[in-house]
Amino acid sequence: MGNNQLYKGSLATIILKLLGEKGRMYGYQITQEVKAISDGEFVITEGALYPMLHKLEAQGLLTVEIEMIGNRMRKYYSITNNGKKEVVDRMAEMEAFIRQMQSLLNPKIDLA
Amino acid sequence: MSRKLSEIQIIELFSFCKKKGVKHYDLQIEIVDHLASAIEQRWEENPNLSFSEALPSAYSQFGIYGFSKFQKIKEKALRKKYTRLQWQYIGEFYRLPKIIMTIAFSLSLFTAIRLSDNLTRLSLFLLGLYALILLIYFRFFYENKSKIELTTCKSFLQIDYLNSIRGSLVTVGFLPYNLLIIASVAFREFHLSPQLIFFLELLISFLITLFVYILVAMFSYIPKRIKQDFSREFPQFVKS
Repeated sequence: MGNNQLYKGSLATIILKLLGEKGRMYGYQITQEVKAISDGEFVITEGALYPMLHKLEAQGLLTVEIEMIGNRMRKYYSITNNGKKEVVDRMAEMEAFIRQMQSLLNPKIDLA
Repeated sequence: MSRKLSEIQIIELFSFCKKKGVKHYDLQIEIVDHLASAIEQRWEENPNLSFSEALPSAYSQFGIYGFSKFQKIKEKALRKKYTRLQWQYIGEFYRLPKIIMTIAFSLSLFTAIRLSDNLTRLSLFLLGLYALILLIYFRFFYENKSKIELTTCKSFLQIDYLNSIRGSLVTVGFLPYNLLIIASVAFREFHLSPQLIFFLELLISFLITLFVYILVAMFSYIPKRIKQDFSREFPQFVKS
């Protein structure tokens, strides 16, 4: 059972990264994809996903298209150029954070 | 062949949204698609499940708050988006080459204030001119440029927002003139040094120019942007 608290702060980064890699996606697809990639460890709740998507769209990082799929409409999100820049920054921040966490929790003894 | 939701079940999902307090169609679309996808996946795992059994479990994924937070956050997001675009648009007037126009506009206003011997009279004259321009703009241009005619009676968050902007015109529209009137009273009542008056008049000219740009952005540019965005997202509901 994963600790969702740890993931919460990274939701925006995860969404942006995913859309950067996969192109356009719709809400349900994002929840399923994240579940699949993390082997079911990380479950995005719908109550958190959509508000975050709407926020990222408002910030100009995502853009939307609506298409008719069968008998219902579907809203697709894709990343904008600003969003792509944002991903690079956020990933760098995230990696730095992970490195710091590792050295904090698992300090290596410097033998040199 | 996997089991899909029928037309009637989709309609039922829309009324389910309404029952749960989501009134705007633009929000309903996304929730309906999500619930439908979740239900269809449950049917893949268990084809004998009924629609009325699958729906509550799909809904439960939205957590204890359900959809209640959706509308507030979406409204906030819309406001933020258009405020950001508004300042971006105004900012362009303070960059080359538009800044030349901005400075010219501010300085002509400044010259008018300097030359006039009665600031109150000048303010009233400008107010009249401004009211006239506003009247003409709204009477002949606003409707064409930013009114969205729908082919449906559904309600949309974006349209509500557009209407709320229009409603705020009376309160926001006359701000620059209030500034001018306050200045004219202040100059008359207090004995200020000529240098200070010169500086204040210059400042007021630039402030009024900024205010006018804010008004142009709020009541001309942003409504047009909303119309554009809306027509791009929902071309099927816009009368052309």
